[in-house]
Amino acid sequence: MAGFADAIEPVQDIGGAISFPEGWGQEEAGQTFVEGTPVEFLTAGDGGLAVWDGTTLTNAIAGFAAENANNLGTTGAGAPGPFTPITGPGSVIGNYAANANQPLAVITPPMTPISDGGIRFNIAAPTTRFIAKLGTSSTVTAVATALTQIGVAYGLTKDTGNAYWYVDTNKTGGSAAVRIVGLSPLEAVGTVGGHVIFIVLPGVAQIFA
Amino acid sequence: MPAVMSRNNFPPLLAPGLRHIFVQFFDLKEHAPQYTHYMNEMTSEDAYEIDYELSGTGPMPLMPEGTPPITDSMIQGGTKKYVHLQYGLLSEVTRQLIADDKYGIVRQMPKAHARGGLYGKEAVCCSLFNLGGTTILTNDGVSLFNTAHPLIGGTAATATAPGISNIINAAGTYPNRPNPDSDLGDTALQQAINIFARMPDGRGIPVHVHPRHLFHPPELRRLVRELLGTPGTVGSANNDLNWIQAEGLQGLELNYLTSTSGWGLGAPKEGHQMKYYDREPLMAQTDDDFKTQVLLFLSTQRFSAGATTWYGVYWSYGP
Repeated sequence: MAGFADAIEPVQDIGGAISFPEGWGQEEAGQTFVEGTPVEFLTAGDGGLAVWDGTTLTNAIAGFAAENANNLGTTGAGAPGPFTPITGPGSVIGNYAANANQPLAVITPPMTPISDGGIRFNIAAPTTRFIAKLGTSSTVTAVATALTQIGVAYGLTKDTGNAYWYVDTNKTGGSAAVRIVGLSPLEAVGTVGGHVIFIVLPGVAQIFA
Repeated sequence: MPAVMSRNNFPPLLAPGLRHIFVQFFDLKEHAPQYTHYMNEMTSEDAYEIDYELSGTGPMPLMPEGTPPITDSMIQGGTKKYVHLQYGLLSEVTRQLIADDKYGIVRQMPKAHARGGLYGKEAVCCSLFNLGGTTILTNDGVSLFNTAHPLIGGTAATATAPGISNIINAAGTYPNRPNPDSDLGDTALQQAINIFARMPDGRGIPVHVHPRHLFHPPELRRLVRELLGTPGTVGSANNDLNWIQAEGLQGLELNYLTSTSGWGLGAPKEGHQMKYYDREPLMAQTDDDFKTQVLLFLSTQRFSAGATTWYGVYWSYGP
């Protein structure tokens, strides 16, 4: 049943003292992805950070979003320059018009997320291991974990029942994007819908290959 | 520049015998803070600050005998959210370089960072002028310096405000930037001061706001001194009074302006809404990496700058 996937997040750093490498990029217009979504820097258009298209497998995945997207009107709206303040209203979600005579004036409610025109993401670096649910797009259902999955390369697929992505055992060979390097230590082997630990294949990683 | 400063990057520091080392962050005097002269400085203990604007009511009309008064109310404007941004610099130095530096200069890295930190504050604050005609917005949603700021009261406000028909570029708006931009001079200054003198609030009621500072880049120093200091009419052989002197303007030269011809006027701090929020002052921290014995000098600061409204400031980006 669809709707089993959850956020893909870094879970283990094998790089010694360094922490999870994080990146920041100007958010592409109209993005509505959630935290834990694979993202890419678009190589066409204005080059904003957008949800990964799910099919490109060469230099494709920059990492996984560490924040929810803001559905910006234009790419990087409000992003500060080298030495400027934020150039937009500081928030996007929840803004509403102030009055009829000032069409561009908005009320920004407190407690709404700050928007600086960009999105932080966990870079798909070789030293970062991520965790995700295991499933198959053939039936759009969760799959039981198994020790034999360690070392196998699979694809990533967006769950049709929610906004998250999962490691897809239905995508192998040329469709693979990640390699399983372990199973979640919190779940028994054989758990249906259990979590697997993976790295992004070097050829698939966009900025840290 | 090396990512990690090591002895081979600075071999002269390792041996005695140098008569003098011209260290730029010691020997080149930096400008004293300039933003403190024109920004309203405040502190903050939150992730951001939000300013809100409300108009008053409009003019009080005649109330004929025995008739009820008309009603009016305040009108809300937009908000301005000041999001504090983090700025930081990291320098990495091998322990051997620190130990073998005969002159004790490298260990004073935080002083160099402080210089860069002040630059950051100055540049961000001055970006209000540099980019105020484009990307720096106020709570009305348009650029800080604009030929047509929409007034909260709309066309009723400009219909109410006396004597502004030759100033405004569109009904319901008021400028704080000439159209087109003009070079600094006697006539341009007269126009700017007139825009100040006729400035209405959001409902069209004139407000008392008088410019104090004439902001300018170094390139306009001579002209500013002539305009503000000449007893007679500037550039004229006649004996007329230099009317600008009575305005009490003070020149304020800003070294962080990017334009060589842009200039502007600003009211005293209480008369405008350009703000600087200090969230975390400049902090110097030192640590080391245990394995490599590389010393880490980290300096950070967090602040925000912006303008809640456009009132009390004026700018021209030259011709």
